[in-house]
Amino acid sequence: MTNDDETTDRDLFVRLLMRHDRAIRSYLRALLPTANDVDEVMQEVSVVAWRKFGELDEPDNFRQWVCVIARYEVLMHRRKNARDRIRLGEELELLIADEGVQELAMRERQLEFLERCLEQLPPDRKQLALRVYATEEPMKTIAEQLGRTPEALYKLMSRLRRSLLECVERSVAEAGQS
Amino acid sequence: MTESEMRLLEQYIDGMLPEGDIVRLREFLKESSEARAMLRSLATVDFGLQDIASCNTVSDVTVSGEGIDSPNSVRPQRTRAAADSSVAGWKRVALVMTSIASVTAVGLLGLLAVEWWSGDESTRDRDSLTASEVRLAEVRYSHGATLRVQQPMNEEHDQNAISTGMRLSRGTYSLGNGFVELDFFGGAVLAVEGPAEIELISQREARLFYGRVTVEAGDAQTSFLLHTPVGEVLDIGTRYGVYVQQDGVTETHVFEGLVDIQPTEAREAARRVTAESAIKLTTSGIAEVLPVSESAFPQPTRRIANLLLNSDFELGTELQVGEAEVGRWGGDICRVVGEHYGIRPFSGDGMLLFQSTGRGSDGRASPTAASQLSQWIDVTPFRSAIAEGRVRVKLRARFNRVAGDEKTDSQFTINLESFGVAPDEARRLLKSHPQMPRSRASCSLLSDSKPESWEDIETSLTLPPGTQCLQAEVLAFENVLNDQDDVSEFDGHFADHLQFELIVEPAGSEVSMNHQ
Repeated sequence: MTNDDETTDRDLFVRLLMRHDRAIRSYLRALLPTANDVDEVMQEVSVVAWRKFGELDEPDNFRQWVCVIARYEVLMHRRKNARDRIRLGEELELLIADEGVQELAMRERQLEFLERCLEQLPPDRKQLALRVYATEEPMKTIAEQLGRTPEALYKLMSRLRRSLLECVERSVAEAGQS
Repeated sequence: MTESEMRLLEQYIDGMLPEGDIVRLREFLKESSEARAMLRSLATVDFGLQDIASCNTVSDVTVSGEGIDSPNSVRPQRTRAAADSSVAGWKRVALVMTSIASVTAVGLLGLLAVEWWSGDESTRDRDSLTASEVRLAEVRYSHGATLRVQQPMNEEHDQNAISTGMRLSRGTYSLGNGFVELDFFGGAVLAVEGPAEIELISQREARLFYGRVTVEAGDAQTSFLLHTPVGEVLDIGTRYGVYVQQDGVTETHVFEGLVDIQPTEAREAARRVTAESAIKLTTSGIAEVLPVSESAFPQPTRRIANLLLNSDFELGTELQVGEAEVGRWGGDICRVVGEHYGIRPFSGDGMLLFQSTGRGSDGRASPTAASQLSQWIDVTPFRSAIAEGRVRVKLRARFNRVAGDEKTDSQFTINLESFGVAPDEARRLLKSHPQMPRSRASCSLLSDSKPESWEDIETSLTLPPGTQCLQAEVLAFENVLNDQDDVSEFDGHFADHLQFELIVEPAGSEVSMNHQ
């Protein structure tokens, strides 16, 4: 491989990774307990995917191909952190992962609609959702700052997320029909 | 699915599932494909919200017939957050409204007072407000703090609880424990650590009776006068800490810039203390030189905005085709131009024109081709704060393009990527095989076809421990039509006025940590 070939491959890889980064991270989120775990595993996934990039025959298959790597890296990560008390177990995690690969295109579409659905919320609700997610402060601290109990804030966030989920599912279905 | 089953899934996603419920959740997920699909749906929304929260489309700025509004004319000078962009306009409306209306609500009068007094001194009508109505500072951050007014000037603040956003008027405040950060409307920021007692005198002046304070004055225009039992400490564009003991003995530690201490005793000469030095003074004027100790003082929020160089793309800015460096832009073929295709720079005399996705030898079409330009930023000076997870970075950029047609590309993106090696090492590794970033924040914009307005996006990233350098990147994508011409693949796509800010979150002193 010449330097030029390698540069071209690297650019293509980085661009494909950027393009599908959100779908892959969303896929990982269902398999890992926290956003920090997602970041950590995503880093490993990126390195392994680059190492094996020559084995990918068709760029259109990149998203699915990376998720197969991600599935394995999740297992490695879980084994490394075997002391985690809240674990679903390998068999179940693999089942969730394998079903998730079949949904990648739909999840990507849902993520595309999420911002639009967020805009449809009343402004104060939208600001609240973004505030909760923009900070790494625990819900309890945010609740104190807002003058609410943690339970009330948690319930409100639960309602907001369910409402957003309904909206993105409806939007994807409507887009599929048109 | 029942409500309690749904709640199990939500608790798992939120990391709040009680340990005793994990068996029930496992059984439920094993049996129900609907439950597994719902788990993935909740994860999608959770991730998506986190992603959106880290990326904001800020605003459009319209180009008027008279030229482009300068950034400062549409935004407050001291940017606190993206959402503050409309404050200046709101403030003007509030003042007009309140000047023509009979204001009866005390709260509104208080608010007006704050906004009025935070404006230009020459425009203030001091007679129209009493001292108790004038707010001098805002609580920007508090941690475990209780604040009590010793000489209440306003009943509103005669309380123990303290919360972020509270605005304080003149008076003496006693801080029992914890830590507060006060944002003075005169421009300085004070981090006060309890136990402490401090009198707020004006927007640029306070008196410390005892306790530990760090003053971040910024520049000479925002100088701050701090009275202590041994004299007045006047900064000259600096950052310093003052520790007043119960017996009045006062230590002054200067971290940056310099300060002048004017002793209370008239016969004593003023003392100048320069950066990285410290002095202890007794009330009788006996002085002792001390080693400077930054960690002995509370650390206020620090905002460093000058780490990304040539970010306004003024005419004459050099762009390297190929590798970027610390302080130098590099990447694909781009140019700095003045007014171009009828589009004027967002600010200054130049802007970035994206031209090509390749570096001249790219014979392979990429499905996601982009023209990209990046610059490395060395963050090793902030390593200790990064290790504590207290450093965030923000990147904001303005974009514009020609109206074009349905084949005109529309996507712009900004990226921030963090690496756990030094900048030179990261660049070397990237050449041989991509050293993937430790973390990344990205924000994209599908631009409109209105060349008369610039669009604005922002992204932010908390730096993971071990981060040594960052890459800030700005890209234009061939998301609609991937041209094969390797010289001018874009019809007229521009970026301008990138703003990079590194924010070090506040922290208490080592002294307070040792007492916890």
